[in-house]
Amino acid sequence: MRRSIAVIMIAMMTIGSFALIPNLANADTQFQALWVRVGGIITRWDNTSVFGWLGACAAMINANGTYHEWARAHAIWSTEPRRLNNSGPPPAPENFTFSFYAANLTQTSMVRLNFTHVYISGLWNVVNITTTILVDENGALISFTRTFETVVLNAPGTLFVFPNPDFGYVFALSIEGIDVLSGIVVACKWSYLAIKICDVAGDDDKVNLIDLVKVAKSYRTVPGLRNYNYDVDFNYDHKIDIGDLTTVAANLES
Amino acid sequence: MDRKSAPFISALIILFLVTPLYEATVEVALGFPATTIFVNPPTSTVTVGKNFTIDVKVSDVNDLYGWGFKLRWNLSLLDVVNVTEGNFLEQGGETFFWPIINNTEGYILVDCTLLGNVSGVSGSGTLATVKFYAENRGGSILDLYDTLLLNSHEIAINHTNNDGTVSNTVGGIWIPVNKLELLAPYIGLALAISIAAVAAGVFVKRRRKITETPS
Repeated sequence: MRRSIAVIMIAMMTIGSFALIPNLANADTQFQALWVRVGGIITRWDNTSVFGWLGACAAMINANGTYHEWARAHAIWSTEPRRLNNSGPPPAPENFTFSFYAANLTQTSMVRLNFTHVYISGLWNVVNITTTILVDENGALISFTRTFETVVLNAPGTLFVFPNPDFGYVFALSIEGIDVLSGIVVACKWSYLAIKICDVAGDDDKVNLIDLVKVAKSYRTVPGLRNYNYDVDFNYDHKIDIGDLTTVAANLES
Repeated sequence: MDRKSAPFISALIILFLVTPLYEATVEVALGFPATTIFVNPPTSTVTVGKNFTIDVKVSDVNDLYGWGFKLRWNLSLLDVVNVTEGNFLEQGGETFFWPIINNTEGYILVDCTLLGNVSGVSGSGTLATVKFYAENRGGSILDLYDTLLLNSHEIAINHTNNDGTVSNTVGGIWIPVNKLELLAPYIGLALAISIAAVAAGVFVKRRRKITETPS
């Protein structure tokens, strides 16, 4: 009798231990991450008043003990603010030449995030882009030509976002070889989950028709044209084209 | 009721009668036709093993710039072959059309938008045409869901959805058959077996009777 009870007990414990298998399987799939997306307006280039946009997305990811840092960052600015931000009455439809600067993070060396500060360092390219734009009688783009002049190539630089009592959050972008760019943060999103870059509407954490339409509205525009939308230039090529449309389309959530 | 108050009362009665008419008129004037996305035809009867198409249409829409919908079905009965853009939105200019077909889970996701800073399209028309292949016999709802219509100001347009249904029937061609001629050999065989069974029964019964009779 005792023997049979013992056998039953051992059998029950053996069967019970199978229930632990899923937990054991999950034990080594630890995944921790912190993501941030920052959008800002560039207001100063050293002591010069400028206008421009800054966009950055960064993450610190710990997957199964393997630690990754990832960042993408980009900025465009111009000393001709009215042409870039289209403030004031719309100009008469006419061909024009427009010059702006663009900085692009080409290699990330360090990311530090802590819910109040963002620090991204790496190598940056800065170019001066002069665009000649031909428009029709309605101001719609017919064609454009661009010349690229390299200002600095793979220069060390840092983007630092920090709190400011007057403006909430501000940023400073220091790249060797050019003056410091600074401005205010207009959007900052923190998340433990991967931030979807194509979710430009940013209201539902989904890439859907709303985001696709945002790109479509700016389709075939470049900086200097009224409908250019910096936020939907996903590939940082300073034009909204089929590449940006298909980027959103390929990320549509089904 | 004296003569002086009679006109006043009459006017009051007329006013009382006319007021509901006025209200009704106002109601009609404000009652815009509701925008609807629907499957056309609403009911399809199709043959198993054949392709068939349905349209997803929109009616009474104003300033449509972009649209998107999902359509699901009974995945054991149907497969989507392809999805093509309808001609409604392209009336407004260049469009971007992006269908995603998932036959494994039985749904499609289709999005389409105009391109550039243009006005949307108004009226009614076809958004997309879906070609199905009828795999098996049965019925399925063509369920429109997660539908979204956006106007040129990127604002959602209120609308209703009307699903469709599809009924897959057995396919093939009609051949007239003389059933009696086809069944003749089996009828003969069945008759022979029945006669043999009856004869055997009678034989056994007689044998029993002979055995049971005392000698």
